[in-house]
Amino acid sequence: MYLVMHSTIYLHKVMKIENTQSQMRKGVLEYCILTLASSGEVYASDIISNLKEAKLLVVEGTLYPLLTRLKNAGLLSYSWKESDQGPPRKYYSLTPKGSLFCQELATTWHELTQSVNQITASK
Amino acid sequence: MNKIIQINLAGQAVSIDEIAYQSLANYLRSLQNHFATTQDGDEILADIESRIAELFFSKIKKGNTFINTIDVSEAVSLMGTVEDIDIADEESEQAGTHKALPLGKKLFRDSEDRLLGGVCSGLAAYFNIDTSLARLGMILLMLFTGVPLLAYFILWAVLPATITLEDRTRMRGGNTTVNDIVNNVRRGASDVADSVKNEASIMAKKLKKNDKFWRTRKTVSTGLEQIIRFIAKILGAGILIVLVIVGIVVTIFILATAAGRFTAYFDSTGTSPILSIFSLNWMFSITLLSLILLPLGALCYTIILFIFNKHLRLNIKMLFIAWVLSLVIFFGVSMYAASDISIKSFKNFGDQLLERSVFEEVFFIKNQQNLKYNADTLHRDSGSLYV
Repeated sequence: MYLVMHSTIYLHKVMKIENTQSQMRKGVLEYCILTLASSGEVYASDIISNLKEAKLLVVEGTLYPLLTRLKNAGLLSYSWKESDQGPPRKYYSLTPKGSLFCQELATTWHELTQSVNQITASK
Repeated sequence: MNKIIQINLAGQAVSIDEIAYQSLANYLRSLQNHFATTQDGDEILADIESRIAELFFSKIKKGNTFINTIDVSEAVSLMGTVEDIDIADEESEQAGTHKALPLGKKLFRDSEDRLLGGVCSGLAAYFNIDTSLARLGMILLMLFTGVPLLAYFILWAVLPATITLEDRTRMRGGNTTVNDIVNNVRRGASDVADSVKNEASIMAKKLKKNDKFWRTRKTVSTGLEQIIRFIAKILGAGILIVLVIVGIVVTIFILATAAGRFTAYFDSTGTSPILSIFSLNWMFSITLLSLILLPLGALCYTIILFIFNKHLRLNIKMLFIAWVLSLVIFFGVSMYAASDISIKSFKNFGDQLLERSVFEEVFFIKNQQNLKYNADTLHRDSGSLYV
């Protein structure tokens, strides 16, 4: 009886194709955001539209925690700019540390695609 | 007919439909709860808020005079619900930046579905049973034993009421879903409808009576409830403290005398009145066991955790509730058994008394035959019965 009372609900992770897919996307998401930010000052909404087009992102709400995390890691910085469409906007750009990080990720991605291509081609 | 209200969204004034405002507020609150443990959660929330404000501005630029529910649900589906965001956020949790504890099930008083204090519906939601079933059970138990009346008031005083959407979700032990938000919007709509109805009836009565009366009556009723809750809290705390002390004393006493006097008494009278009733027997032993083992177990567990320097994850509140519950049941059973014993012994005593008086009466009549004594019929009858 008391066992039931103590029980807390844990979310059981079930192996699903959606999970694996989203995990594959997640791995490259940071790399993509940094690449998008490397072109100068970008607005979050521009990053989102690019990511949505590439089907890497489903909902916008997921981007903001990621941007904040990258900013806290010192990879991104932002500046405020007035907007005529509402509140002032945050424009993100790469820090020197971020551009180095991005270059390293580019190398890794290059190697990774080669490895995957090699394996999938041989099958 | 809906009110249009002005809100401050990310420093911008936005005109919004009241129902739309309700759903937006609920959505933002669910996000706030979600990001409460995240590093820089406020900043993330501010970003999302200003993005929503921007989306609303583009709507208004297109010619909408105010933001309606469709605009809000569009914005919510674009930004994603807590669940959608959660899936993408798992990565960060695995990386170890922060570890959100699983959303535990929590006992609440349901403030929206209630007859008195919402205790029954809260319990029903917690144990995942039908609310009316819980109410029926509570009423039946109250009628037959009277014990839950006390338990009800204690729970009423101790349990927190559901305030936010998150609370309602935790009460049921799940995560916030789109469905919940939709339900909440619907509830908000019906609330608005109710308030409109109330306004109409007040307006109608205004013609007959002074408006002031209705206003004061409303404030008095809420004030009264607060006072009752306050008194119930103090009373509950007092009763709880007394119950705990008495419970410990009784437990020790019973343990000490269980082997001695009680067995002796039961041996002399035959079977024990407690043990003669099966259902009471197991309830008695289970509650007695849990009364002793729960605090002992909790103590041992805490000591072990302390020694091994582990993070304390014992649900003290649940344990305490379980203990109080078993205490209440134990008391009920003991009281019932005690009254049974006293009734039986009283009956025996009464029988003895009656027997003696009859005997004396007979003796008296037999020895004082010469005296014309007109005893009342009852004694005479019983006397002749014995002679």
